[in-house]
Amino acid sequence: MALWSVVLIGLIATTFFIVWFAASPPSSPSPKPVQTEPSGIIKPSLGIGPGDWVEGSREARTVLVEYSDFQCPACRAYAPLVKQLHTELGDQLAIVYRHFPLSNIHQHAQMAAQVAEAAGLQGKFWDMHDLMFNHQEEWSKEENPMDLFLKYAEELSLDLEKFQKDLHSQQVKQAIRENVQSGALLIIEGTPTFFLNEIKIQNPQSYGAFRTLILNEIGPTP
Amino acid sequence: MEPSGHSFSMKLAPPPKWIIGLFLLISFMGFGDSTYLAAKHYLGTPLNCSVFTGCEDVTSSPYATILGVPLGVYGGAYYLGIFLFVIGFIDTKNNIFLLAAVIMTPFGFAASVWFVYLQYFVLQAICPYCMVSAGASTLLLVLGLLVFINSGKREST
Repeated sequence: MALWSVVLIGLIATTFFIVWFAASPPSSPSPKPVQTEPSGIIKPSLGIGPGDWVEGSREARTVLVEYSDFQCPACRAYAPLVKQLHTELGDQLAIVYRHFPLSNIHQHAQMAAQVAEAAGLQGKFWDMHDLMFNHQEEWSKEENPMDLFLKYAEELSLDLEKFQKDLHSQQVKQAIRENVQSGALLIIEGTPTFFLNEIKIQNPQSYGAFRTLILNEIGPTP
Repeated sequence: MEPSGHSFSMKLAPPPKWIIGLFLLISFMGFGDSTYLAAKHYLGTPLNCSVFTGCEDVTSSPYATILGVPLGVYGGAYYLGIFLFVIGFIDTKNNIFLLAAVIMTPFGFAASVWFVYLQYFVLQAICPYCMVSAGASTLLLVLGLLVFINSGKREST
């Protein structure tokens, strides 16, 4: 009986320790450029990297970084707001899209990210980004959405042979992996998560609130 | 006529202590590894394995879950089962517990072969945590075979 008591206590303690360990933030360095704060804490760069997808000017002083998941309904809800910000503010605002597919709850999120990255290799990332969110309800319900993804690629006049090859390439997977790892280092808890000039912001509840926030950061125009 | 399991358990000679010790150690390690993978899945945080490549490709693939349950849960249950059977054997000295543990090992090994095949040839990405589990299930199979070999030697002497 004493043996079983020890085993039971040991197993419970082990399970608790593993869950605690799994929940603690990762300590591995990010493959993204890192910067060191005066405190010595290393954090992933929220500046625009060479591999980032950017709408607006890369030179803009105001940068909005979004960590997003194509299968996440909240991300879809924010997509038109972010698009409207780009339309209205143009080159005053750089909008950066980074992948953070929540694969444990969104079965097709990882593949959707790969689809957008593969389209990006043919210069159509943002077009595919828009298609993904506009048709989210359609493809996310499918058991295997690959036919739909190919249809979208066809709609964008992509080279389908190259698209299908790129879709499963290490280059595409690595790009997503780097986004995910940088997001993990930033302790992202959900999607979408926005950073405005490197500061994490609460998701605004309306376009007006979002616009005001951005305009305050841009400051008065000369 | 006795039930075949019982008569077989009577024939299974007690293995050396080091085999039992390794059985416990490896099944415990496998349990820890699988529990970590399952915890990461339910917490929704990526695996901490940036020095390797392929963790996310493997754990986010459609093969990472069966009926919506992550493989880590099945793996954890498998290793826990073996661990508890071996504890049962140590506690009662009843060979039926050891036999149950040994009989489980080919199933774990077969599953590991399938998952390693998926990683190498289908996903073309390797998750080191999954490979640890594959290594553990292989060692458990070897230990299971050693139990039988040892049993045969004891009978012949």
